[in-house]
Amino acid sequence: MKELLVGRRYRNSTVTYLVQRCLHGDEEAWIEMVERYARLVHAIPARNGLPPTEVDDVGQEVFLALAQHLDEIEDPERLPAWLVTTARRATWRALQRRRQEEPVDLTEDEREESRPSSPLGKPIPTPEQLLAGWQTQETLQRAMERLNPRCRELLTLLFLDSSEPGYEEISKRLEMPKGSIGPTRNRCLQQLRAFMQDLEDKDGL
Amino acid sequence: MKHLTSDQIYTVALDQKRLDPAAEQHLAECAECRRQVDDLLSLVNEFEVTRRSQPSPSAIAYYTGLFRELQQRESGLSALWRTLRAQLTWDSRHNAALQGVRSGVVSAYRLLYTTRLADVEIMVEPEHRAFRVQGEVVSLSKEPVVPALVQWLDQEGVLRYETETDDEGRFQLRGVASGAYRVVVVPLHGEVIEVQALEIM
Repeated sequence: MKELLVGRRYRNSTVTYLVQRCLHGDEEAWIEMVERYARLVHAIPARNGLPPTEVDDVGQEVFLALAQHLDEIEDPERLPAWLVTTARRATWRALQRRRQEEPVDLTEDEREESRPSSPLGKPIPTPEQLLAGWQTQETLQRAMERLNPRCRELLTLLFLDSSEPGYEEISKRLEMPKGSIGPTRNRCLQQLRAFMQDLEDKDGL
Repeated sequence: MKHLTSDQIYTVALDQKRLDPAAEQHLAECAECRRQVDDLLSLVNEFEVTRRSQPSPSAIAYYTGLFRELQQRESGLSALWRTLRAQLTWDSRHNAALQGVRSGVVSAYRLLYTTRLADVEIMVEPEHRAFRVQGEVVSLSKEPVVPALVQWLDQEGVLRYETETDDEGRFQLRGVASGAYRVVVVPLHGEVIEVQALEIM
């Protein structure tokens, strides 16, 4: 039961208050901070095509740095920007290491196939671009929460489930005719996009 | 002009299926329909980023366990994140004779910034209506500081230029506008080196 309650006390707290509570030795505040920002940190190496193990490596590096330097952050409200910059640099170093570890005897085609989807040598997005990308991710998450449960479940299976179920599997799980999946998907995406636009308009984006 | 239906847009973007020839022709010619297809593809990409950035329970457990590191300032890894502020130790503009200039007007000039770990030498030359900047980051210790990412930020902290050194520590930027910059050198390993106030004019 404690695991369910931990971290929820500070769910609506400002960043500044969270940081203050962490620095006062409040472990629940730290847990909330991790749960609030772990995806932001992971999104940066993920956007740059790093595989899951290296995404985790970047995450470990960033949160260790956060734990060790939290008291040095001058403006706690800029913590997301600090995390973005720190994760970006760690990602840059990870991409550099991959470039140095690349075998020298690969053919050009083999080299191209082994590249992550964000090819080495492509500029890493700036912190501003990454923060804008994070804003889009937050809007997507909020819009998903607004969908009716059926749509949310369908889009989660189609786009977010790491096991990547096919239409056969989805049809069984949702008890939906296979032929209905495509049209239902389209309607749900239409609704999702309308919610995202509405949220962006309200946020002044 | 009759645009594609939303079902047709979804078919093209998500199912990767071809439409009938007339619809394909329209798509090739209609910027608005192509924009809608691109918007959908962007949304699918965002789903992919969401999926790939979801931390595993073990990752969350590891990060929450780092609470024990909170406020422990000294560790082998903390050096990665400390910043060394470089001091200006030489500016060739202060000795115009070194420039070989008769008129006293200095065009190209050199700046040397020093930290305990590395020197950063920068040569600035006017080029057309802007400046060409050539630099070199030289390690002063056994710790390698190159290759490194070199970032030029303006006074608001906005990244204006970015490049990387080669394996010898050399870098170049062209088209640099005059102004005040903060130059940040991010080595592959070790501490970040920062030149706080560099004026290009």
